Amino acid sequence: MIALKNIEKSYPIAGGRVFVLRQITLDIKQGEFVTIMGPSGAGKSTLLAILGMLDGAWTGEYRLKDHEVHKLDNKKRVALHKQYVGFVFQQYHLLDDLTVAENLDMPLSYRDIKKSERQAIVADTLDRFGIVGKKDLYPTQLSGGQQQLVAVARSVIHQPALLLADEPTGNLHSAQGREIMELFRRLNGAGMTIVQVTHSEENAKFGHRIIDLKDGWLVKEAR
Amino acid sequence: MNDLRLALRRLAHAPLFTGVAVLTLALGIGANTAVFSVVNGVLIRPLPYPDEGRLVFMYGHTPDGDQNFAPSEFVRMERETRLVSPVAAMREWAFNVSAGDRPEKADGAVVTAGFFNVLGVAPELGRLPESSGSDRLSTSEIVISDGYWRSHLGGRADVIGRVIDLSGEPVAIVGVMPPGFDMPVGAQIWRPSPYAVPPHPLHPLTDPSSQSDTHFFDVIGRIRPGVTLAQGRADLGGIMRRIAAASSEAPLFDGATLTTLHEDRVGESRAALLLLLGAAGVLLLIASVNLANLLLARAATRSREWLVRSALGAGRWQLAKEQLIESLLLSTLGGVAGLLVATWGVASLRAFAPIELQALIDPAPDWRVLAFTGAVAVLTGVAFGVGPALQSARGDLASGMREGGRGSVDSRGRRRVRNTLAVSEIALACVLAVGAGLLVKAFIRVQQVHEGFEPSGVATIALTLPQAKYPDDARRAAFTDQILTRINALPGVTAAGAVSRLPLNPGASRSDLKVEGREQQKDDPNPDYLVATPGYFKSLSIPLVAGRDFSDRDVAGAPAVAIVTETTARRFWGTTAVLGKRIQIRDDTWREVVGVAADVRQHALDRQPIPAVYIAYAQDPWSFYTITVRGSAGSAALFAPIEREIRSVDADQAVFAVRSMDEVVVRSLAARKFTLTLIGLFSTVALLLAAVGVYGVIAYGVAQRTREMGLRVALGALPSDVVRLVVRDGMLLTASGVVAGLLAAIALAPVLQQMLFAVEPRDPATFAEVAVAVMMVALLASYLPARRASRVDPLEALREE
Repeated sequence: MIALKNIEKSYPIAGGRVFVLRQITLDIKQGEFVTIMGPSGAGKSTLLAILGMLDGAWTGEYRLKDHEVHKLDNKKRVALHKQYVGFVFQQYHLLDDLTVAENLDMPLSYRDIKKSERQAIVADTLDRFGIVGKKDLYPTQLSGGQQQLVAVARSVIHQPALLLADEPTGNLHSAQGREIMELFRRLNGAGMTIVQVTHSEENAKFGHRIIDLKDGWLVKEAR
Repeated sequence: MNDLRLALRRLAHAPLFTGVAVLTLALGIGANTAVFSVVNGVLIRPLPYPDEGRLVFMYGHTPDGDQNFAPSEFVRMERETRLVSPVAAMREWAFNVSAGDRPEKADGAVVTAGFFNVLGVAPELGRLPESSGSDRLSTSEIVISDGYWRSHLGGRADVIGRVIDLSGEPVAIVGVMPPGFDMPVGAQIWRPSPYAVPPHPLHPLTDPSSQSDTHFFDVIGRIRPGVTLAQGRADLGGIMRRIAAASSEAPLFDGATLTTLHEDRVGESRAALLLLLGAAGVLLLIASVNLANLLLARAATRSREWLVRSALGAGRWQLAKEQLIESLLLSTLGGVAGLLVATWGVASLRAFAPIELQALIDPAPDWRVLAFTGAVAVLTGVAFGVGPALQSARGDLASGMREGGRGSVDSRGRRRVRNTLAVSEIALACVLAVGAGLLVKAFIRVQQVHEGFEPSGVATIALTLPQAKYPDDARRAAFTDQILTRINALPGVTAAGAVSRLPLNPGASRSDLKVEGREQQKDDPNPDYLVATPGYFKSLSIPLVAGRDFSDRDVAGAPAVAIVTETTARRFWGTTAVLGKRIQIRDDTWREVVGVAADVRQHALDRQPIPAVYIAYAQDPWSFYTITVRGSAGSAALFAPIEREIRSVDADQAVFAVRSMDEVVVRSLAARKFTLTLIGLFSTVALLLAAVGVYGVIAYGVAQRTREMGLRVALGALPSDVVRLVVRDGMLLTASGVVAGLLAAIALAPVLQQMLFAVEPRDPATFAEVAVAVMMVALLASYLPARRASRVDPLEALREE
């Protein structure tokens, strides 16, 4: 599903460039659950952002399904992102002014789906994630775990083929973290490709494959 | 999802931001609309006369200034002018109208036959007075103003043909002029003159048409199509020179002055109004800058949201649309509030404006201005609301998302823009504050000027004696003597008198002064000619420097006497020891100087006294004058008894301008106060907005630096250190703004010169005071967030990391 070849990202600094990612070559198959690990500053989140097409300034080749991302302009990348990608953040990033149901509706509203249809999808998702009772609450009225649950629900509501998660349990205590990981496993089992960034060995075990980054280099792959 | 509903909810969730933004917009839009509505009404909108650009006021030109034409000059001009035709003369006239049980005074004018022709306006109801032959109109017919018709005659159509008692004569109302017909200003009744010129107010039964030495009426005319003011001036100037050539006396006029009606009406207000417009413009600028700053600060706090939305699939247009809706909603709320402010503002301005401008001001706010200021607000909202959203959508999402968790996202560039905006706000507010400070100082200094009399405790009441009832000097003198005797006998009255022109009231009568044994000089000023009764000086506590007051013995037939002011004595004799000297004024009677009175600020507090000569009333009994009464218990208690005494002598006599002398003084400062209050108001609002701007920038900076503050406290900083750190930032911004503002004020201050009094436009003290005041306000505005920063819990702040 994903093929990266010699992906590099760098910033200019006085007297040269500082590299964040170096010659990353990587394949991810449809339905895989991949974990990216590594110390702080290794380039994990940057790699995730490039996969999600949130970051456009890099070199190398990136193929997503049949699309040669490296040849696309920003507009087309945005369209591709919209079509295939769901994102889960460490800080949840729910919108405080919107209720749970409205937060879930937001990605759908950006995808030209009719209102009645959207309502049905939102109702179904609320049900599937067991948060029907919370639908009219605002994010600030939820616990951290509940907020992340909503965030995950929001990221998959438009059924993306690829779910990217950046430290999804970083702000949660272990029991809540486990619940989210179980949820990821279920989503993956249903066919969704997942790439997560984590520091947690325990969470890494939920995936099929672990990729280790260090100083921007891909140093190890393990199954 | 309903974008509008969400926008509303977002605004409701940020009440402080919404409140301040709406208030800012309301003040900017409201103040501008209100002031511009006034400026439009007064300076821009044409007067309600057809082809009004061709209507002119005409004066004789002298090296010392312009003066009204004499009757004989007008008659000749009317006959000979080729380029300015038709012409007409008018004289303001106070009529006594007896329509109900109480006689009332009505302002109006006596006009010559060409008057309505010149202005080209037909009555809205009825007709104009008919011609009664020899180019005159019927003097037994009058037309009235729309306002008078509605307020006094119930706006009924059947008033046409109704006969009323006008100053003792029966006249028929034949027409009602349309609304806005207001020539001269405030006129309610127009009566045709029986002569070729308006009658002289003191001798209305004598035809003055052939007189060449009195100047008591205004002349208006219509220049012919295609003729310029300069050509008209040359035409009239030629007539004046022909008159001079045929006369044996030294010519008074060396030419003619033509001013458009519009300029004549608003000329004096122009500077003040343009100043106000400029100030309102600055206020709009400050409001826009403030709004921009608010929106940018809000954008910073919402960047995270926009990034999330982008990450969830929102396109740039979708983000822009949401923001656009919010900005438009905000602008609409601000616009509605602005409309309220403008409506209230125009009404207040109208009520508060100098009387000659009131009629020109439309009571409704000007829609074009509202639209313009609204558009400025919307553009500001869109530029500073939508711009950052688009920028965020384009930004580095990946790093933005990571930073996002720590609060809001702000770029250094945007922070710089916000700082610059705050500095500009402070600078603009400084400019307004300097203007206001100078005007306040001038106002205080004008008020400190000694009037030359003691106004408190004095009641004043004006009278106009109708010619029909009091046709000669003897009857007028007897009536006046009788009422003053009765008023003097009232309990609590310490002095009572009357004067032809009350100090600090508009209008003047000036005459040539001839001093016995002294050659008249070319640059001799024409002193004010005032007629006063015994007791006038005492009633106003005007000190007599030498000699005596008029007395009951100074009557017709007795030796003619005069009292001169100190300035007159010094100007004409070089000393105040002038008792027993003789003068001629107005006529060729030699009058003996029996007293020297202290100078009075007769025309305005901010004008140096000019020479003035008082004549004993009984020796020149005018038909209009003002009674001045000093009472031991204040002025308020006097009005009713005075009116009662006047009516006990003549039940039909109307009184008007019933005022305390304090009120007269206050009224004379109305125009100055009008400008001052508005500029003061604007500068206060500007300062508040600037304070909000500084507060916003500093508070936002503090929010951004919570972690830093926590760290500093954890490392041993005391709350006072944190306060100092934050306040220093605020003061640096403010100091830059103050410096820029004061430099701008130094450049702009001379604009105010005309409106100042006893204060220099670059008065260092005012500049320093403004700098200190602005710094104090900014200090407070930065102290509030600083105090909050000093209370940061280091553990909490660092945990956010």
